[in-house]
Amino acid sequence: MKINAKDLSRIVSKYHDEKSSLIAVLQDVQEEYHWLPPEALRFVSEKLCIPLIDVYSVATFYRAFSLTPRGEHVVTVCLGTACHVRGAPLVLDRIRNRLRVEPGCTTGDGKFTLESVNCLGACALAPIVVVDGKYHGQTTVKKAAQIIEEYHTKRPKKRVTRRRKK
Amino acid sequence: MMRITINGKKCTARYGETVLQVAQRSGIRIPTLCHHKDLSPYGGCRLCIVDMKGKQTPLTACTLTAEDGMVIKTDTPRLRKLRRSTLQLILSEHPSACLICEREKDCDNFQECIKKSAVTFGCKSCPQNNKCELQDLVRDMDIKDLHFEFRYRNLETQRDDPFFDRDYNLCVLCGRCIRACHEIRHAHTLEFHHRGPKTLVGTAFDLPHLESGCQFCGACVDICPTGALRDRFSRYDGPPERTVKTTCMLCSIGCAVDLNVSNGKITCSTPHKDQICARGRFAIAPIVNHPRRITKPLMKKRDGVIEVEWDEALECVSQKLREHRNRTGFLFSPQLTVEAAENIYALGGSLSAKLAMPFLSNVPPRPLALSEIKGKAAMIIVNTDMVGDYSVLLLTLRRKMKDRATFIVIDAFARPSDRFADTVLKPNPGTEQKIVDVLCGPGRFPKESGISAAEIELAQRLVKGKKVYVLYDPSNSVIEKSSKSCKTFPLFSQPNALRISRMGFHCTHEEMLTSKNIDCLYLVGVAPKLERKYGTVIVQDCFLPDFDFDVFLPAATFAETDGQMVDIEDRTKRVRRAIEPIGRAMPDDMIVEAIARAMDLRLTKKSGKRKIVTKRATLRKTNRAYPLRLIVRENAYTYRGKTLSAILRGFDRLRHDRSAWINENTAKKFGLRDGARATIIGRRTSFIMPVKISSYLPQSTVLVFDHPSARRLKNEPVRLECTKS
Repeated sequence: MKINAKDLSRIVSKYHDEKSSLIAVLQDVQEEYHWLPPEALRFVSEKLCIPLIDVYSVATFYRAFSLTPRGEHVVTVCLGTACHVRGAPLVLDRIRNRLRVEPGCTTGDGKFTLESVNCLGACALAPIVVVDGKYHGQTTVKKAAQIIEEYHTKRPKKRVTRRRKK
Repeated sequence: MMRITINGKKCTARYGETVLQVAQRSGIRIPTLCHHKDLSPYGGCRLCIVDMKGKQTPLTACTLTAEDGMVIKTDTPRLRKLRRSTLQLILSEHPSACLICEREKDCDNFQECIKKSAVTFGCKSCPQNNKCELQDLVRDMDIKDLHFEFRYRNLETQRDDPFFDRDYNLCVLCGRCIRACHEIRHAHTLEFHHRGPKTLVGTAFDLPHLESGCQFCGACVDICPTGALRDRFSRYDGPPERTVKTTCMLCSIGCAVDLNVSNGKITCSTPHKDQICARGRFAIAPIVNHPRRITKPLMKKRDGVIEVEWDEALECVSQKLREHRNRTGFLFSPQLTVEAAENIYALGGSLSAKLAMPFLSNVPPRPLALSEIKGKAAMIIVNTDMVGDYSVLLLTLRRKMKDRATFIVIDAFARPSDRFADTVLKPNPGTEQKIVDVLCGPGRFPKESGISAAEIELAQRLVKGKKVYVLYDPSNSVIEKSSKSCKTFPLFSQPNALRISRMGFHCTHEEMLTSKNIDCLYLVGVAPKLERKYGTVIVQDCFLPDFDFDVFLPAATFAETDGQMVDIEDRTKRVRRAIEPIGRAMPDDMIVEAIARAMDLRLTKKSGKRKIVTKRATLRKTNRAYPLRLIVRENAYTYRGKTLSAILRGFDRLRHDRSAWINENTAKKFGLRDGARATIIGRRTSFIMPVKISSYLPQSTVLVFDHPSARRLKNEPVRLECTKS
């Protein structure tokens, strides 16, 4: 993975090299690369004057950060109680068989990352499959396969960015 | 003063004290695991919970600040029950089968060697058996069975690093090692990573400690309550039978260390109350017990070098000394006790022999007056590896100024570890004095240093309005005082420098070795490069030298010697004998006394003729034939003339100080790969060394740590050639 020092300095300088904005910086790096490459963590550590181990500790603590490369599309299957009752495990099984990866892993071609989550708070739409931030409610096994096929041919879009308070 | 009541006992508390501290001071025991007196309160293990009147839930005593009128109970049935279940939970992740086994005693008696197994599955196979705080807690709380299912993390023991192993299957996540690393040592090597049940202690990206900026001070190893971190050298030795407080003589700081003795063997050295560095922690016991150490007198005879009795060796030495008398030259190491140095001096004096200054630099030593350093201060550190060589001194300075000191590092070879400083300036070698001048007072902007005006300005701003102290290692460069507001302190890495330099000497090391009037060399703990043949060479040391000798007298190490040493602040410290000298070795002072007795001499003190003169190094310019500059740096990791890395592999991996350091561009230019052997060719001499490539070195320089052959080429232009092996 090539790291562009220019992009990274832009991100860090946006927060005025402030130590306390480590998480915000890491979020932006994650958005840029879809994961946190080790070189990027080293760069951030040096720029913010935070020991590398502390940056690493924060990066591994939060699930929002990934230290392994992620696929072009992130497929998240909700396994919360409501989804579970309405057949989420079957949906997950279907997707798992289709992509041939376990939850938490990325397909060999780097197209998809499969993840499971314990509740998304939208239980009325159960079972839910989220792909690249887009919610697909009331999924069935059949629908799940269709969703995957749809993204298989689709080119990656810029991921929906979360809005932050100013 | 506040009054609080603990278990009905009236106690007085000082402002800011925690309930745990008050209880411990008043002799009330509260079980703890994650608490340590030198560390900040953490409240992680939940074993120190106490009940407070007016609060329903129990509170952790280590984080509870004492307030007037508090009523505390530490030992109620409810607390006991809670504590027991907390400990049960901790034990569910710690291999603990032996803790509750009823056949524990039998195991102790009959299965002694089981602890040498590769995997730790219980206390009997744990190196920390009988030294473990968890065992004490289980015994105190009388836990007889385990309630929770045991979860084994199944991690591999990490044995890649020198000096200690890490088995995180035994870790109870108390975070003591992390706090010691951050708060005491400021090293930032360890931290928790991941979270929940996956939480582990480790380095960034799980790199080995060697690659993550670890100083190998051993603070984490000593503070670990379990066997998760263990010293590799002493792992099978069990708890020490006794400890002997002595002074470490491996450098000039002279830290107090406890030598742990079991079965008449020094098993390891641990800090006595305060901190020590990698040398004091991990070098002493391996040196004393080294397999290559010579502990019998040797003599060269017609059929080679053979072992002889002391009497024969002494007889031979006295005869040779009598023969050569004033054509004898004495060279000795400053790492001997003061008594030994004085005796050698007296023996040399009564023979009218020549005595050489035992150190390389020409700067007259001055005590480091730590008491003068106070208030708002800025420390300028010039060409000195503060973290590597003087880590304990750096900690003392930081503690003294309550972490408010400003540190500026001026060093062309500034290492990643120098990032502790507020700013790091990397000037061209030889221009350090000019930068100190411009920072401390009137001085013109040093253009030739290669440092930008902005960097200088930043450093000037940091120094402004503060008292400036310049610390430098005189073997690397000599810095003179540039204005009234600044003070300079030379840091001598060798012990006894102040005491020995007061004696007065005839010549320097170099002059002695090149002098034609010397026929007989008496070397005590030094291993120079001999330029020519001598009539007689007498060596008094622990390890064999790499040149021919006539007599070898086995010396005891400082761990087997009684005496004194003088530290960097000119304080005299006691060195105590922990064990009898191994084999037939003898302490240096007693060997010299025995020689004097054999010669019927009385050891009287005479002073040398010459005082030391400061010489400024002149830099010869590099040219096309010799395009690189050789910089020779003092090596503070030595014992009696041998580098620690030559004796102990761990130090070689940590320091790479037997290699010539160059940067990538130089390596490419000369077609050298990391670890390749290169010939370093100067105008006067050449030598072969492996190459170490590092990105932090400046262009066109070769860095070598003090080495007998390199000394003659110090600061000279050189070139490199790849050596085919």
